[in-house]
Amino acid sequence: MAPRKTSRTKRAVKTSAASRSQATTVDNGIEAMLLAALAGGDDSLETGRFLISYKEGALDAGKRRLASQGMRTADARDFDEQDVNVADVGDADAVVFPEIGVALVTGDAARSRKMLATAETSDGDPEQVIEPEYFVFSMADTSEYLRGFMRAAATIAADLGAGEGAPGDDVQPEVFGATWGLVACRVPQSVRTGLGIRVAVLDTGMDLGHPDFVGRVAAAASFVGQPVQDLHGHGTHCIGTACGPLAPAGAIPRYGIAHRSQIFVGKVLTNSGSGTTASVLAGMNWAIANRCAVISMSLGSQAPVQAAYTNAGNAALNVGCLIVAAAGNAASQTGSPANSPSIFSVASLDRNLVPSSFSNFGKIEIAAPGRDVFSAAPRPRRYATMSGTSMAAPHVAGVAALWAQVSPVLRGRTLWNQLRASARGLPLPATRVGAGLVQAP
Amino acid sequence: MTERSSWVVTTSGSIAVSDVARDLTEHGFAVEQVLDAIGVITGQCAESKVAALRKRPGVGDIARDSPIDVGPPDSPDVW
Repeated sequence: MAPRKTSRTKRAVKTSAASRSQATTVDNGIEAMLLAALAGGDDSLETGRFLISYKEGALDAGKRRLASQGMRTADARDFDEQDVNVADVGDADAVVFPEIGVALVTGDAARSRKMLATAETSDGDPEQVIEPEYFVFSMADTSEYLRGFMRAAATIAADLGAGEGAPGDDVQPEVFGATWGLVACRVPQSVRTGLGIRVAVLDTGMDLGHPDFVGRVAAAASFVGQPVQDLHGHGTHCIGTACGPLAPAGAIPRYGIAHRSQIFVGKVLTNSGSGTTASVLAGMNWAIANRCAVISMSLGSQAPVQAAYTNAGNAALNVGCLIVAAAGNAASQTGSPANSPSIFSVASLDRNLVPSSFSNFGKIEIAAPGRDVFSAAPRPRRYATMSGTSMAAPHVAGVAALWAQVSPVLRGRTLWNQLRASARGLPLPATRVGAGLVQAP
Repeated sequence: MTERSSWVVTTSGSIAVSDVARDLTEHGFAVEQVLDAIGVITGQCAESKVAALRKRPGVGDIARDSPIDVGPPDSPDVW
């Protein structure tokens, strides 16, 4: 049933079957659809909904056909300036967009009426084509994904001795089969794996079905009222660097450090990347209670030292845990919680081992690669390149796990001291790089 | 009605965290989390009560719960 055009104000369209489940309407949260697709192991990028494109001049006939099939239909013309958000259409089965001659139909509605993507249309039909709708990701991320892919391809070309397509200076480190960050930290040479070491990453969660992490997650908890499954990407990327695999499938370079550590996923930030001190503290409490030797926190704010974080850092050190935190990207004084004296603060370095332009300074314990860091991303992307002290901190967390494996004595404050003592000195002020570039055992 | 805010209480370590939480509750603080491992309590109360609560035994510090943000997905500005 089409909604009656009664108002020019944007509103939800309601039909008589108001009790219909939201899961079967076009008003179906994008996050929910993505979660459902990922839970089902679907890497196809399909949302489960369908798009019907109508032949020129056949839109009204198409609408009549939808109605004759019992579909509750909303029309974009019923919304102010046709500014229709699919989340605003209530329990409609389909939304028609007259300006482009397209209708968006729920998967359930399409399937129950046998309007599958493979259905053939005939000359007499108003429909030109029926096809699946796909998830859309920002071009920025797509380009980053392609960039990672192209680097991998360039590495293969170099291995094969191809003249054209050989990597330039910016991809040179990956000919060693590992990202530039791992090479700089001397991770590939290390025989340590992080075996038996618990590493907690408190962030936006993790893509629990990522193929590079099968059987790796020892525990996961959410402190923000959302499933642990990471729909943001930041958390998965950080976990990838700290704990990713020794040898990812295909031509993907090694990007993870403590590849046999036990991963503890603490979701303290929502899928929009936000949280509060209380949710972060709850995650810290959980990680310490679980005696995670290394706790990585790529988060913070430009706030002064907060007593609660200092307390938490001391509590961690007292029981043999080390909290590693990103200094922040404001090109300013180290933010909170990294500014607490009991928390190990990490600055970011570029490939040429100079501080990244964004990296905070002041109270810095150590520095690590943070610019153009290639690591894991939630499916379907799987991999992405990101920059920030957020990417530097998990390099330190991963290396800390390798050191912790060397000896059970290397815990808490002793591990803190070992990381600084073994760092590679850099000709830069300690306020920018601390003891220098973190180095694997 | 006075608007309540979220607060983070850091204990001093002189008294068990659970005892501090009980005392704060008796003095009008709505406890939400007792984080034993780090000696922190979170909860809500009116700002006007905070000065008095800071003087309760076992309380080291009370600070307003503050937002943390690493930016939205795809943001060039992560933390």
